[in-house]
Amino acid sequence: MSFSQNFMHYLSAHEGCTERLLFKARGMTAQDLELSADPRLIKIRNMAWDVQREIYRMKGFVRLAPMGKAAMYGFMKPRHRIGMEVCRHLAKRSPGTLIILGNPSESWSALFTGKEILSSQGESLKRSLEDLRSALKENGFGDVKEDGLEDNGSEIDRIWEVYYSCQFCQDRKNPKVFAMRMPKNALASAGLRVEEKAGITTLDDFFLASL
Amino acid sequence: MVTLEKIACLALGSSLDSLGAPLKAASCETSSETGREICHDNLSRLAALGMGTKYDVCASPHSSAIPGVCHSFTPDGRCISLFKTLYTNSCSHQCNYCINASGCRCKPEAFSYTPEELARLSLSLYKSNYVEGLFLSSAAGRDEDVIMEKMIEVVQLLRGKYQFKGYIHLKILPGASKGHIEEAMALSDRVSVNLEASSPSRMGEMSPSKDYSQDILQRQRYIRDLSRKIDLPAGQTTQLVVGGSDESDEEIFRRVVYEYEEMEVRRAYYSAFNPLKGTPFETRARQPLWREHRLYQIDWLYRVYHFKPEDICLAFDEGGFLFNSDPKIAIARGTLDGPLDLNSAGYRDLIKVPGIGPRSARMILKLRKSKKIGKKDLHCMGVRLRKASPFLIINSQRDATLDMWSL
Repeated sequence: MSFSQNFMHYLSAHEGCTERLLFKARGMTAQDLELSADPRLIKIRNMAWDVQREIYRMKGFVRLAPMGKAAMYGFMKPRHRIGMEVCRHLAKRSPGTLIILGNPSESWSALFTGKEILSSQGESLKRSLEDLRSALKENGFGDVKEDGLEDNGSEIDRIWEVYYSCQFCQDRKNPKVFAMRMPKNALASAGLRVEEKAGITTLDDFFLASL
Repeated sequence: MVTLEKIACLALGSSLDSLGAPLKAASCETSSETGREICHDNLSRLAALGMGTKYDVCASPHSSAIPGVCHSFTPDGRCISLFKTLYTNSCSHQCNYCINASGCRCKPEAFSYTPEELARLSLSLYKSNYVEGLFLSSAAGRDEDVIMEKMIEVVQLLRGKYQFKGYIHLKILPGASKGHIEEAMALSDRVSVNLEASSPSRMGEMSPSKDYSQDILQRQRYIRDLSRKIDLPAGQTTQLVVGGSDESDEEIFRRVVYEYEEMEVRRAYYSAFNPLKGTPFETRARQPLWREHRLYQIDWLYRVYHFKPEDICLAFDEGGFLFNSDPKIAIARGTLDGPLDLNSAGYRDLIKVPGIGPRSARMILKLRKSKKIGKKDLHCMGVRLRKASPFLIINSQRDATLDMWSL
């Protein structure tokens, strides 16, 4: 992994980062950290890498379900303070769609208007979704709950489950590499259901079950 | 920060739909309608056409606009970043290794999408962040031109009607017309034609209905020439079946070097031959996966380390096959006169040392300006000491090797 020049940003997002550590790292350059054999600097480097890794994984692993015409929401419970960064990334990927990510204790919302990104942070995901529903109702956009759109999320999940199973080559099964690339904590942070069962179910199981 | 209420009202009042398409154009495909259509989508078809691409290899999308993102990994550790599917699995070719070929005894039921269905399905997976884009391949159907047209229609719908900004890798079918190739290139991030075999004679054995020079090499030349006037962000790639016709690794490597130099392909992918039931090649031996892995290693040495082909050829045995060991060790033994002094060797020599790559070689050069480098520094740079130390003199000391004892 190449070391980012912006390592202070990543370091500050680490769950274990303290003011003291940030102060220590302030005068350093990315090159100092990358080349150093000093255990204290290696610790700082590994912390920044940890955050970079989690951001990368969450950007790819978080799944979104539609809610109304212009909002999508998803579960995410990251270890580090990266919620807003991931949310803004997903908003930028879908201009005009409000993206809400969260878990039972916190949530993040972002919207890319085509020119700028507007963002907000709130309490639990459930609470944010309820707030959103009532705000839309009050402003005359109707009750999004009545659209039954949340079911659509599970439909896509079902499609994904079939697609995911059909891409697996049994003769190449490699649980060690899989565990390295999709570690259990990342699966839990993104709430991935299909991949958690990876290698246990096969396409046959799926079609036999649906008969 | 603004309030959630304000953002929500802005989102609903926005003139853009969830993918940036004007609402007017996309009004008939509201999320709910798309959802209902997905409900009725035939899952067997999804599985059959998805399965048709499971041996197709593609890297996670990486172009100037879209950085590589892996959205999932299969239990074999391969990255899933694109929705890989066939447009149809009905085929008139007679490829002896393929389950969809016309001569296969266990041909699966024939399926096909309509362009609209496939465009919507890809869009739904993209919107929900399951994939970063579409990898669209296909069997040739009765007429490859008709299928190629349909594939282009899918991409046109995505790029035009749905204003899709994701990544698209489109396979060019062997024998596709130049006009179709041009249209495909204008809409895609990457296109590719599968070589499958390393030479016309090998192709004759594997797929007698395809003309290697006309159907494949000529199409690659079209892409190369057209890419000088059409922007194709991720270039063209190709893929080969390893061991489908008893070809040696050296034959494959020489073909791939030709592809990089003459056809300007960005990457070659390898897929170890796997005999499928019902195909004429079902009794042939399955190729070990390590063979594919070793080919990727020498490919990397050529493409990223810029090793000369004649140096890489030192890794082959007399029959032109690679051993199941790191080819860089064989190359280092053949090209380095003796162990290198870590504190004085040049970049070109350093990257020949197993365990040292271009990045760590550059770091060594930088760091030794300020101090003498020791083993601890190498370890911190990520150099694999166990591999590297027999080829290095570090601070006038050399690790003992078996060669020393035998001498």
